[in-house]
Amino acid sequence: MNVFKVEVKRGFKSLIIWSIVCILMIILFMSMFPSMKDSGMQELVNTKMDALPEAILDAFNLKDAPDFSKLNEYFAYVFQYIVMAGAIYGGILGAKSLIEEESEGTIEFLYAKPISRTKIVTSKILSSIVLFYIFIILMAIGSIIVALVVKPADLEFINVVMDMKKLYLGLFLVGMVFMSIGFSISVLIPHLRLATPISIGTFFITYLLGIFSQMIDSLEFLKYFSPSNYAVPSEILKNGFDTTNILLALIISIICITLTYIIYRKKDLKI
Amino acid sequence: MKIIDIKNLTKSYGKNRGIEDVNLTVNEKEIFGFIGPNGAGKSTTIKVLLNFIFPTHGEAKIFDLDCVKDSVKIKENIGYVPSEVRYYGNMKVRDIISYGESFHNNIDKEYVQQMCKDFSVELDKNISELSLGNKKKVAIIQAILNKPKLLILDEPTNGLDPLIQQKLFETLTKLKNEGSTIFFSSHNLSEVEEFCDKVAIIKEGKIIDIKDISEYSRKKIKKITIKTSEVIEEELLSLGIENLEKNNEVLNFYYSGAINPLLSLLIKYKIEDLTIEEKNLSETFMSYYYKEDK
Repeated sequence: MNVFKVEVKRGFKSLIIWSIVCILMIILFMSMFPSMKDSGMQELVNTKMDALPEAILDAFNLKDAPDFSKLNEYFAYVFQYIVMAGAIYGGILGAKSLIEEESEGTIEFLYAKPISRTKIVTSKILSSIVLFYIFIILMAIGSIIVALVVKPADLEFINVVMDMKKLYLGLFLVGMVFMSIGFSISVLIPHLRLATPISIGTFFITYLLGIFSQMIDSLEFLKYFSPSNYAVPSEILKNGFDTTNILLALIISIICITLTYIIYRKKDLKI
Repeated sequence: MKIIDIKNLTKSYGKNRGIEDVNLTVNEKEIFGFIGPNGAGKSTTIKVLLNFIFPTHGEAKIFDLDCVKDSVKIKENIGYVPSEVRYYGNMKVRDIISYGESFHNNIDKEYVQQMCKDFSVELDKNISELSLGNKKKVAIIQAILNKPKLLILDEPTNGLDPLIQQKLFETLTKLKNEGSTIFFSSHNLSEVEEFCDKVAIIKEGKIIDIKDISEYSRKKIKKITIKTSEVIEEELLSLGIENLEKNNEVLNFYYSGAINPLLSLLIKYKIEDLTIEEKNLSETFMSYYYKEDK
């Protein structure tokens, strides 16, 4: 418990920075909503979008031509960028979790204490999840407040909240997958300075696979290799969660976390 | 009782040498010095003891418990001071000490406070603001806060000013008198000579010798310098002298046998000058290194 507490405290600063940046992103996007709502704007956007090749629309999840005059659909579109940011934050949290102590040498303090390697991993994983959870809660509160401000009078507040709940569940799911992948990265890389680039790289490579899967029909199976596709905001709002995706997310997370325990318990610490 | 028992311990890294077939026993209430040049394998041995790394062959035991399997249990009763203290930079000294305390039950808070005072540790500073020596002091405090049965220190005096060094060794001696065993590595020969009961010398990953210091001082090795134009080397060597060196007419050697036979030998020749010195431990160690290098 002591390690867990210290870890949460240590991660708090970057949590606040990530939250502020992401909330600012939401505020920025959402402040454009009132003008989007204008019918003129809607037409303009639609004409422009119709002119785009279908492949591009697929790539940016615009295939079903979201109606930007509806708050929910507009927010869902905006939200995919938040999912990207969240996935990267989750991935970095995971990838730094264990290697940080080794590269900064603080493991010489921690592991000289009566604590098992298993317990170290457990504390790190739990603290990363809790930090990510707090991030999601902060973001959700921020988005609801922003949505309230720009909400058209005819939209029920409760509907906004329910949709947000679904979207943030999706974000949590995607973030957890990248975080779990991050944990295994953390026990495999030789130095902390690789943690951020490798986790960001993992995100964008899988993200690209997702884009290919949508653009090229024969590569459709690639979508399973792209965790960001497990919870595409517009799809969640329309069709809810896909069971296959949730199962995949769970399986990847469990495998990665198990791998993390196995490797960390056997590895020579690099100090 | 054996506190540390290392048997045929080998740790090989990819490129690095690591350690090879190390055997070592440290008994209860000993201050055990582990000396050798940089890169000889001192830290590697300590890292195996603490399970930071896993042995390739052989085994290491502390309190008769296996260093790999029973690491948690072992660590309840040990303290460790790393050679290079790297702590969570943005933590306050006070917090890191209470973090250290949180891993143990029955911490004597007054004792910890007293130690902080004795070492004049600045509790309200951030770790990142501390100098090397001040960080080391924090490391020492957090290593002894559980009054460990075994204290392991990796080059403890590095970066400490002489006053704090003295304080450290006073504390170590006190801990020893209270029943603790101390195992420390160093390349500073004089501190080893002054404080240790036993010394192991490691070079290129292998233990070259283990010496009992009390036994050593009983032996009283003399360092003798003679100036003579006569040829007496053969006869000297038959007396059992060691490390003979000859520079022009000056002979240098070590002698640990009885004095009389040596004097009766010398008296037969014309000796221009004679010096007999007590050979100190540092020189013994240096002679080890040189001998191996030749």
